[in-house]
Amino acid sequence: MNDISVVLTCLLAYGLAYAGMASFSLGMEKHYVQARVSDLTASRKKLFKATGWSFLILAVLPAIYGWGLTIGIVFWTGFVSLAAISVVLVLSYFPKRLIWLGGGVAGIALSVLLLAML
Amino acid sequence: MKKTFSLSMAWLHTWLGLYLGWLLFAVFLTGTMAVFEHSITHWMQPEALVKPAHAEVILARQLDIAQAYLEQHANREKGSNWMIAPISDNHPSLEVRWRVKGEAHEVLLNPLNGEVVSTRETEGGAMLTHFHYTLLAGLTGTLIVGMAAVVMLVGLISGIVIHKRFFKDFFTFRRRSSAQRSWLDAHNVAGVLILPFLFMITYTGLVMQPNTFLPLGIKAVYENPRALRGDAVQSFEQPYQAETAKMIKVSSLLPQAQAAIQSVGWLMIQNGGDAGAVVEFFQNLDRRISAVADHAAFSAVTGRMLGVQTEWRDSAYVYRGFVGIHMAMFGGWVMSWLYFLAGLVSCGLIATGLILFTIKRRKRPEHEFGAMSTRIYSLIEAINITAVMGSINAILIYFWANRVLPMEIPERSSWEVRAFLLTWLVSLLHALLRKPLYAWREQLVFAVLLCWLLPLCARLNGLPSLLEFWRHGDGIAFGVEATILLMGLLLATAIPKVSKAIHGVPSKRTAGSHKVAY
Amino acid sequence: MKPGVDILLRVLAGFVGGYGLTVLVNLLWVLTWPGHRADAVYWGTFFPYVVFVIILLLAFALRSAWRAWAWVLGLSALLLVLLALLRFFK
Repeated sequence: MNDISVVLTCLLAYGLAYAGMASFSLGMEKHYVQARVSDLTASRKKLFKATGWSFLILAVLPAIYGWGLTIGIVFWTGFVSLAAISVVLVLSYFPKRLIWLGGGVAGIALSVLLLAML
Repeated sequence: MKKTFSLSMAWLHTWLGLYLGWLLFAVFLTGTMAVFEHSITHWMQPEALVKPAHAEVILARQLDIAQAYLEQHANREKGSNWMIAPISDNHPSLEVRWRVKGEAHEVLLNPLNGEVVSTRETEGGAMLTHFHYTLLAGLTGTLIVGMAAVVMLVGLISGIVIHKRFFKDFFTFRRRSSAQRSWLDAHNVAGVLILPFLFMITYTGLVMQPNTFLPLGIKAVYENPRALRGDAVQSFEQPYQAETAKMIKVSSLLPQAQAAIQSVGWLMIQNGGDAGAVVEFFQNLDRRISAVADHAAFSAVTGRMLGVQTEWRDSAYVYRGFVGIHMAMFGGWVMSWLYFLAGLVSCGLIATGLILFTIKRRKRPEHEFGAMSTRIYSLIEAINITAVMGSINAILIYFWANRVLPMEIPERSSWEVRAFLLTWLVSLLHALLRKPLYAWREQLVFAVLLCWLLPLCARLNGLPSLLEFWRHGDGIAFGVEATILLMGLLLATAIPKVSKAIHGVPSKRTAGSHKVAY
Repeated sequence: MKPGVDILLRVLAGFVGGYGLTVLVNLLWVLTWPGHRADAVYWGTFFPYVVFVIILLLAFALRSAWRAWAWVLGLSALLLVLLALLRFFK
């Protein structure tokens, strides 16, 4: 892999992991309130959890595609941790931006993933 | 111990964490630096500027240059091992190493013209790696670090037990809350979010050294413990003939070697210059997690292939897998940065833990040491400052010593190490003399200045700094210096927080409750 | 018992006892491994540290320091007997 495709693969894996973690945090009462002024319904809670898991699982794909199964999983673990730390920082410094950051990153990552699959 | 299991765990976490945390911070910090060991070594030898043209010299040419140099300068000697490390992603320069009667020699060569690159005498990043697992105290040091690693595992488990809100507080960091609350949140979040890394790095650090930690198990089945390695790594050595012989150009064997092991990371020549000389090509370690290098050996005189090892005993492969995942030589620069970041967060975890101990007691002293409590608490705080800021400053002073010590003093490299070690002592004295928060702030300011003035200091000494590294295209040295500047920025963000605590600026919830207590 | 003595006994049980048991488990593993001796050594180094960690946790979790020592000594005796039997039958 050349450096550009390394960077793209990383951004993709990290972006998906970030979207996943952001979604998980939105599935929790206190962070949902932090990020948005309204109440969290039970069905939304479930939805956020489900999208969270989906994004985390999707994030495995670019990592394995880029570095193979074993090294890819190590990368995935790293990106998931990094994404979780980013969510914590976003929540404590700019809570209102969590949603559009997460949504934007998820949108870009998903379209790149689709493009890559085509 | 205490009334309930979780109270016992809290007690254990507090005290083992405090006493071993002092050591663990230095171990984790130097370990974090060790990720970029070769880059740091390169930065500490500014005479050896790497230009983009160097990396373009083909491997065969590098090997010819190295071999010619070794044949000229290293003696034919029974059991000699000459090493050639060409330029690669994680090794910025062409290096040769050999020993004469046990004395180690290391020389950098210019891959363009074969001339020796004369550099300042330094142990470079290797010293930090060495400190990471020996504390520069040999076997005893390794045993102490091993014990600290066991305590770290105990700390992680007891930490999970007493945390209780593991998932509920997964993303919780209330930075505007009371001092104690926000430090505790930071400590918990750091621990929880990189828990896989923490368990992995600590456990593999222990498993890596069976020869030191579990020697009896090896001696039970091996009369000579060195034979263990022989059962894992095939040896293709030939007996020493005591007869001079002309060696072939080892570069002529490259195509054969590459066909056998795909990529060549480094070479060893055993009994160089002798009729029984053997050249062995080793695979680059960046291809897989397990730190095993497939290798191919040839007679260095006739060029006949002596053997190839590409198959590994499962147990040895798993063992080297633990070594590999600890040292992170796979995955290129992205993985190195992930490890570096995780290392920094681990340091943060330990530092916040140490700070929490004193914050809690500053607010509500627990009189754990009877009448002596106040004095012992301030001693503990002084040691905390030494453990955290002393370690950070020790590394920075080591870098500074590298830049400012005169070139001609004898044993220059050991003076660098002395400066490194002495910093802890100075840091402790300072922390004992000043009030805790002032000591924190002053040592933080000192560290920030050390980070930021480094390029200026280089300039005054006529050494290349940030701009020159950039202009010459030496990305590695540039990266190291830029990272030091960034670390300065990170440390600088802590200064206003300490100042606020000194002036007792009320946080939102606990107005004025945490002024300086002593 | 004075709290200081209690803690000292626990520290000793946790560290000395913990390491001792680690070594004994390692020895037993290496000596009973049916395959090649290199495999015995390598596979045998991965697990024993878990014993160390558990004993260290136990030493401070149990109700009294004596209990901690009883566990350490009891387990050591058991492992030593097994090792002796092993030697006897080989």
